[in-house]
Amino acid sequence: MKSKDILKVVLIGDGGVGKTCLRNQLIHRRFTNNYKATIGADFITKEVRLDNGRKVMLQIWDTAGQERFASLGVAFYRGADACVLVYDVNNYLTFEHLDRWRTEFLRQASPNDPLEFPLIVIGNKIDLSSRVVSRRQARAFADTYSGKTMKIKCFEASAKEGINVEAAFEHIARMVTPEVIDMNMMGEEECVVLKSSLELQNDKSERKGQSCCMGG
Amino acid sequence: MQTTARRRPSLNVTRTRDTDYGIRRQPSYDFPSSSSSSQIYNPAHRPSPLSSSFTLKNQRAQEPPSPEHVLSQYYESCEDKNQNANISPANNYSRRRERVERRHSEDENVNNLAIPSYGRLSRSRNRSPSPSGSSIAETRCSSLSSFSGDDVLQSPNSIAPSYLSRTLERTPSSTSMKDHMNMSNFNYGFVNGAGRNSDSILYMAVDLDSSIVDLFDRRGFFIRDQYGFKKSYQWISREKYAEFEAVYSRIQARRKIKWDALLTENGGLFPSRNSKIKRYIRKGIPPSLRGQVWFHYSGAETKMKVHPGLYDMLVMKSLDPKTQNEYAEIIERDLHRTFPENIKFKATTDFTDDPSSTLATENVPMIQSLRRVLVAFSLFSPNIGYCQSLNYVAGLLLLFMEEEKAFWTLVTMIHDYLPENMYDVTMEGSNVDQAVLMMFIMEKMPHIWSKLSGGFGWDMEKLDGNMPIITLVTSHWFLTLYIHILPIETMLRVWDCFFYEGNKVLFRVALAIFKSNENKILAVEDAMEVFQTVQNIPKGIIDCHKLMGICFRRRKVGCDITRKEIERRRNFFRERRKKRVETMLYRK
Repeated sequence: MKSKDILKVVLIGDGGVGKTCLRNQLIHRRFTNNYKATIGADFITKEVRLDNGRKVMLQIWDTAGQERFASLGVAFYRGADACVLVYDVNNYLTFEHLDRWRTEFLRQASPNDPLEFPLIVIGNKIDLSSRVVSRRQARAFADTYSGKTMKIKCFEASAKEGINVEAAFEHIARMVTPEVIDMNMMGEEECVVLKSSLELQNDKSERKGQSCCMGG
Repeated sequence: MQTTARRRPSLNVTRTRDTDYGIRRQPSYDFPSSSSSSQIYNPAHRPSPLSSSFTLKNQRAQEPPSPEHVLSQYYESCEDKNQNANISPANNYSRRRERVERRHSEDENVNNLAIPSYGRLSRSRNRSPSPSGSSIAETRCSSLSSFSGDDVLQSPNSIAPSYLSRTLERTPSSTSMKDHMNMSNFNYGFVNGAGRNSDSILYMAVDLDSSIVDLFDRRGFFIRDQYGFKKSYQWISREKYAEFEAVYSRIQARRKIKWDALLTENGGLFPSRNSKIKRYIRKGIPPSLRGQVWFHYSGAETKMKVHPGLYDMLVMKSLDPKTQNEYAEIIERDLHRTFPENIKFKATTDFTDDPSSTLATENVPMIQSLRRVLVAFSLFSPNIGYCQSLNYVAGLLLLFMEEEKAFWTLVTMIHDYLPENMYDVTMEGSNVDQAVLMMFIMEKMPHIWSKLSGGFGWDMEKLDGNMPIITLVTSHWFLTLYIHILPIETMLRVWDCFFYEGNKVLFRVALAIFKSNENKILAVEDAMEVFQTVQNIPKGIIDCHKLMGICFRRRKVGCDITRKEIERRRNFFRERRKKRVETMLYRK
């Protein structure tokens, strides 16, 4: 069990920043202009092999980008092991909203130690030439919210060209070590009052879920 | 934007070149009626209805047709269909076996299914026209310099899809084309033509990208339905579609005759609400009448009459630079992501490497209409503004009716049919409906419920804010009213009943989906597997007739829920949720 954990990773960020594209680039290594706006939520599982030979299953969740959809997604955030904040480097507003997304995530997922929760930031669409968010700005955002042990890493990626996509997700896999998961599970038990023990068990069994691709 | 627009006599299609973004493809408005050109579809080889539909009547489609006009169109299409009885799709399909193309399947979740396409378009790229009309080739080839009007040519009076053929030219590929080839998986298909040229290879097609319009399969049969969606996709194989089409086309033909008679009885007008029309609608509205039946029975028609000119005013207002609309940008981001797989919504980014597709969408009339409708709606309903998934609803309406009617139908749906706060910032209505649906499943299908909920009960006192994970799937069902959930024709059948019977239909369909796939759901153990099973089940429900039958069957099945029952539960959950929020605030 230890060698094949399933980690729940959620992708959040404004609509149209390329969450679905990033995921599809990671899973299928391809990009098309024909993406539909995502409604609802789904997940795809992807195996990532770490340097030390360990295999980690990432269960990557993707959902609608409009802020109001967050109210539907309690189950979406619940039990997440890592969170990916995505913005568009060519759209300042999407970067500004990261703060809001982070707060919303921490509120809904309510991890034990919010500052130490594994988080990364991805600035997407660097293949376009109309960049308005600089690396430094992204770095500043990340530094503001980094904890003592959990430094938020910033990636600049292009889902279209396949730049930095795998690197970012590999980083997540490395970040979320099994020890961290155990800590989180403990944390949840203490902190989520409403959860019955039965439900928690259910959450655990969800983690071990079969993997297979769904159309998204 | 468009620097030149010139006509190529040999092709007789409009060609527009944009200096920055390469080729813009536009529908050809005057397709030649003679067979002079060997490079294009030769109507002389094909009898009606295709030939009759080869003039694009864009203008006409924009005008609201009068009931008589509708009827005459309707009769015409009936005749067309009868004439083509001998080349029924069933025969066509039985003659060949197609490999299911699963290219790009992960983003082909479109529900493509519909009414049969009659006849085949022939095209060949060799210089000599094939008199048999059966030479056919794979038709996906284009580059920056090869071009023809490939967009929709649809005549409103034909039930056959009348997309125009694209000329098959192989011209030296440009850098951009090479890029396309590099980034997409493409395949080469050698296709043998039938008929006189049967043993010669006619054409080697290059499938550049899924984004390039492909209207025909290897043998030249329509791969798109009459609405412009692809017929088969990841969840419905070609064989399965053909099998269904063969049966369903007969049902549809029969329904058409029935509707025809019904309208004749009524002097070309829709009868007032009665049990007969209700039965007719449950059995499916003929596609040619769909938009008008929806518009009429939903009450949108009355709304539009009461507010003449309001839509235009809203559109004007949205164009006024003084108007502040925070939603305009969000709408803009979703326009080209609405039905990218539908030929009418296809943004013209296909040949360009420029991803600023908002520019590319300028050329697509359907997307312009969608923009106006959504922006007008955001001004009309400031509480809602814009909510993702309205783009799909509005877009689908636009496939069936003209812009202003689509706007009013959208307004009627959102304000009269769907519960309050469904799409507003809180999305409370949607949350409440999910709770109601879960409650129905719990009551009526306890076995399924135990799977969905993961074995534990649902303490509504505590957990109505913490709903089962399956609601992430089912909320999508209600928000888009089954667009991208059910195959297109099945979804349209749901909409037919929705417009006549209201919101309860959505619940009935959801319960019918669960009930009719009980075995599949009960067979899986793991909670995540259940999630995926439920997510995937509706995508394969091609047999719309059966599903609607289950929906409206009395007793036993448990789908026969009434409006009252729904309303009572809604009130219950609204109160619960309100209390819960209050307690949470109090704790803080």
